[in-house]
Amino acid sequence: MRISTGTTRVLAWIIFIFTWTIIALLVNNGLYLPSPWETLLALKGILVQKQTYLILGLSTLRVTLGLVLALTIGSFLGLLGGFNRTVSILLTPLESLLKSVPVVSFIMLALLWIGSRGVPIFISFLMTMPIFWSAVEASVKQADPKLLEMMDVFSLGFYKKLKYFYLPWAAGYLKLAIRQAVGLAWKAAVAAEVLSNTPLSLGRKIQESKVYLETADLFAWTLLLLLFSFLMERLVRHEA
Amino acid sequence: MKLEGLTFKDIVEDFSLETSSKKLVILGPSGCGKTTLLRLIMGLEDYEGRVDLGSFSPCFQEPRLIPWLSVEENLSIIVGSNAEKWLKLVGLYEDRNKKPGELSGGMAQRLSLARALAYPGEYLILDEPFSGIDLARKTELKALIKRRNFILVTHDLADGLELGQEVLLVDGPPLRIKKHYKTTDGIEEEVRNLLGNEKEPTL
Repeated sequence: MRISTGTTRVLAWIIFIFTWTIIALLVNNGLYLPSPWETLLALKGILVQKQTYLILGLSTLRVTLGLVLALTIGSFLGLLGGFNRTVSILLTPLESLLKSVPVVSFIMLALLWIGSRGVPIFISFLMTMPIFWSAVEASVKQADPKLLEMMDVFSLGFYKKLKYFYLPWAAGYLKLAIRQAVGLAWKAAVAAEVLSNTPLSLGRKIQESKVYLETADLFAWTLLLLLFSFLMERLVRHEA
Repeated sequence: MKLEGLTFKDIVEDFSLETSSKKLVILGPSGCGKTTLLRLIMGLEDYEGRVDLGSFSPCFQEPRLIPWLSVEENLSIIVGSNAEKWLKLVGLYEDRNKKPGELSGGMAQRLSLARALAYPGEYLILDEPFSGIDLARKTELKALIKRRNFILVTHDLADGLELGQEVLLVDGPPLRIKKHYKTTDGIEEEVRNLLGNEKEPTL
């Protein structure tokens, strides 16, 4: 008997929640591991508070701003590196640094540099910018040489090449990059919110849940984080 | 047109040609270096030697259209507002909103030829420009080409003799001139025999 992918996915979630319930029953201490039911109750308690929506809205705004900045600056650097080999080589250390340094190091530095309020935006920008940068640079480097030759022979100006060729061509690469970047932007921004204790933020709520040993709340806020990250990814996928 | 000592890899070695003809046809077997010669003339490869030719406008062997632009956009980014006129002339006006992927091979080639014809160049550089184009359309396109100066590489002897003033019979690589006919009159039989000996498709 063949089971459809959709059914398999639903089954996977049922197994996951079932396993979670069993382990929670075994642990029998909501402080360490709240059950799915306790988490749902905590979620209900969070959702009836008006402030929750402001928090979710502001955290979404921070992630979005970080992503927009990353897309803009990453695309610019990608174009620069794609067109000019020397620039590409000169920028390699920066790119490697951004890709390999742990996010927490950047958060600590950003706290020193720009203060706590801007840190989540800055961190989501910093973590996702290399994704856009690499995507655009790759698109320029992998452009069809026959079409480039044709445009050169017909003396097409740089602006027209950019508008009619490079940007639409890079869009395909960017669509994929945006999908990768959304999840990362949320994770990075919330980590920054936790560590910088940003007022009215999802990260701060997670931090408070931990401090006050409200583990069910911590689970509920994390669930909201996953849901918003998923929804934004879906929205981007749909728009793209 | 004057070519002096053109050399590129092992494909073209010390190739020279001088002609006052402004309608030159190059005939020869595939793989002998004809397309490479056109690329050298257009300055698309690093070569030794000298090319003395005015401005040019190419029709490549493959259409080279930007896949996400419409038929009209593909033309208008190169020739601006003249696009509409040329789309009508090559019979693609009705298909102006289609993307290259929706065109047949012949239609794409017609668009590529329209681009070359519409672009202001002293010479058309035409590399097998009639691939996949049906006979009726070909006749119309030939009429448009005849008004211009050109260097035409073709397999088709009939097309070559109809359009050209001079015919260069070549083989290789390395590319060499087998025979340079200063006229197309009365040479058909001889050229056919020479090409036939190479077992090349002609007519």
